[in-house]
Amino acid sequence: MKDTLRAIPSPAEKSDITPIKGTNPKSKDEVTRKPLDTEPLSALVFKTIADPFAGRLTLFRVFSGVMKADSTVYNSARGSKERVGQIFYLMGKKQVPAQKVGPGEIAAVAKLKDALTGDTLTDHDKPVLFEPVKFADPMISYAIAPKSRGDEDKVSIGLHRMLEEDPTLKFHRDTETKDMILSGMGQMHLEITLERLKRKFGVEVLMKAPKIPYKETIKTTAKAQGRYKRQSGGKGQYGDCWIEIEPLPKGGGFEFVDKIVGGAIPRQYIPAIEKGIVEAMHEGILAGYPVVDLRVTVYDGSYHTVDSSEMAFKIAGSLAIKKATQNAKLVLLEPILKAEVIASDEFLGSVIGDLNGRRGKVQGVESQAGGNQRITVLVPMAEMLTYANQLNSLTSGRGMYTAEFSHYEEVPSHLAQKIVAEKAAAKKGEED
Amino acid sequence: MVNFDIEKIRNVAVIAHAGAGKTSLVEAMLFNSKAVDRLGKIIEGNTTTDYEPEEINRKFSISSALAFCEWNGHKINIIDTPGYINFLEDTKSCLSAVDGAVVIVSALSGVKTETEKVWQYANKHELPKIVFVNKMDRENANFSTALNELEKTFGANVIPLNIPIGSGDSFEGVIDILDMKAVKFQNGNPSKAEIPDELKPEAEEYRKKLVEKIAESDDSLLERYLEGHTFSG
Repeated sequence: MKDTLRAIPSPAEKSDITPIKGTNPKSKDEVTRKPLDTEPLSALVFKTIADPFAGRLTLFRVFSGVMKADSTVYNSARGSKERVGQIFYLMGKKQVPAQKVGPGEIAAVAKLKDALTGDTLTDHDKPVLFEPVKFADPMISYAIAPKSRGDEDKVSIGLHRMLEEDPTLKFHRDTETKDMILSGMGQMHLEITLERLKRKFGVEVLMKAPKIPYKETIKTTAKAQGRYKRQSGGKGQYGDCWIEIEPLPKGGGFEFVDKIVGGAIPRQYIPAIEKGIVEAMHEGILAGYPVVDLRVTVYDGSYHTVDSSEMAFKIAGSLAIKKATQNAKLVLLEPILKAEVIASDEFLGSVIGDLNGRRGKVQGVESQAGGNQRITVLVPMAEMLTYANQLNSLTSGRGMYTAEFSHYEEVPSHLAQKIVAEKAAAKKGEED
Repeated sequence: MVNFDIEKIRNVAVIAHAGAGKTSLVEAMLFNSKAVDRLGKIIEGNTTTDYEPEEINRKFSISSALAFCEWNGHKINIIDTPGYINFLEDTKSCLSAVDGAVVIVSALSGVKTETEKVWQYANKHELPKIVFVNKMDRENANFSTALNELEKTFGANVIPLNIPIGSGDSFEGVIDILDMKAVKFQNGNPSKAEIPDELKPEAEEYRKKLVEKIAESDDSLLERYLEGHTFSG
């Protein structure tokens, strides 16, 4: 305690080390605030707690100014006004009411309309926007289904409430297989989420097969034309573009280059083409996974003075990318985990043998205190779904492991064929 | 609840790997400062900051929780964070709300992957950190191994403020290196004591290191040090 007071700075001292900086949401200018009562309000939402009965509880830290009970504040991340009712200090789950909280304080407010974790609550006339915390992408996805049929809506409502408090949780419906997909940071995370769903929203959900977040990318360059034409009486639709696609290095994401010269396509339609391409890339033509790491250059096209529209060029863009990727050797990418396995000396051989069997590449083995070995290994996520059980039985329950996402790698072709075939079968089954 | 002056507020997050003792340390801080009138235990499922049934059943924190206590005229806001790898994103977010972090390292298992992660998160927000070496009263507890690992992983700027007297069953208390005073615990109650003779050289050694380190970081203090003054905490 004494050392905490001595070694940890007060909010005022901390603001000397790291000035309180944000941007003005309107002018985009940098704004600096001082941790004083007299400054305009600025507070960062760092956590949201969802409760089916009491509503949402928003936890915030005041950096400048004063947050008052029964007032109105501005949410600069959402651009909306928020009605502040009661304010509390929290002692675990217990709430201690407060009239106002000044700079440097941490407190909670109930039932804000829009505020989510990472938002800034501020003064309407003198707003500031703090940079929100960036959360990691989910590591693991499972198809889920309610235990009793007909509970789908309850699941959906409950999960959407839980998404509000947990930014690492994602929930969507696979457009191809119509499965409900829940994604999170690990198996434990999803299990606990479903347990909470049952307790708070009274609906039981089963986890089905895990879904690996595969991606698709291209190996070679290709050119293609996308032309959308509906011209049979009245106002028609006309959009036409030529694109070239080329591979980017791993992790390169998506780049869009506009090389249209001489007005082959009017300026205002270029963003529509990009939009069509981006939307089409959400589901690649190989197995319906997102297409990544490529540069798309639109270099030619044509238009019609009357019939061309944004919609027509959007469709043309999506047709072009589908055709182009067909000719650019699409391959499947799989997530690779960097895992650390801790096992004692006696089990080292069998643990490493097993990891090799899972297409793992051992990076190093380090001995630790107490006769334990720390194995660092790169291993495909697809091979690690049931690893916790396997490690338990290999080490009589004494092994431990942690894993985090490392990077994407191409799936060996014989496995890729299998995955593509399975996905096609699942899609067919749905259509039948 | 009275409002505290900003100079009298401290905001800390307690961060570490799972099972290091974050929730228990927070509970002890709350109890010792009389913010709660009963010392909750993980095993009994009645701690202040692990109140969700899923946390009580599993005996680890899933979600961060907020608490506060008053100590010596100051208000300390404490965020208890999860240390299990699946839930570290919550911890990351909480670190944007505090001005410093208490990092717990277990004297049994030392620095773990999660310790490194939360340390890096704290660095991102330029948070000063104090390290609390926990579980000194357990069998096989080893303070110097833990300290070596800390230095190896996080650099030589890790300097003890307190060193333990004994370990495992013979763990009796700590020596405050800044004040050069010993505190011994009997049945959880602290009492002032003299520094045991056999630990005096070690304590002197650490104090010298600490003073040098402080002096290095501040030129005006360095001058005073070179002139032969000592600092007071």
